[in-house]
Amino acid sequence: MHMARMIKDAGGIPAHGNQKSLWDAGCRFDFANPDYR
Amino acid sequence: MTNLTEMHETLAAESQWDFSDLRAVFINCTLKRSPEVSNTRGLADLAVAIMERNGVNVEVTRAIDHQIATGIYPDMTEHGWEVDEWPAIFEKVIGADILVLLSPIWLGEKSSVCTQVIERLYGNSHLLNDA
Repeated sequence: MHMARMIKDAGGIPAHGNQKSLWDAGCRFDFANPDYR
Repeated sequence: MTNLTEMHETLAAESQWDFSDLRAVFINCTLKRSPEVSNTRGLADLAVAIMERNGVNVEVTRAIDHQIATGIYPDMTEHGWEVDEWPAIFEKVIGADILVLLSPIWLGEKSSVCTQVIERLYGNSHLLNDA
């Protein structure tokens, strides 16, 4: 109950690490590093 | 309704927290269909009573009383199943602040119904991407 209260008051659990826009932008382990091309 | 102990009553009475706008969904994954007695529900009734005493809106769903299809898509009627009551249950889950899965333990394992419910929950996890 207390954790649910705190999470709700904080606006929910952030979707960090679960965003398609960041995935497409290369925030993933198999994305070619542009610094070493 | 389960009677709370004096300790639970005291804790609730002295609590400075406001839980009145929270919703909790309990999914009882017992293997027994209604109206057979669920001991799993019996154990959970104390948690339900504590939450209700603290102002939480609690709803308990008995999974085995529903025709929950097997699969990994949000609505299995779109994948050949004639009936799938999971989407309606998931609506309750996604609208809740607290989800409690109840399962009996047999030979050290959670119930098959509980495994299926978890599988269906994972099948909907992509809906929370970019949330």
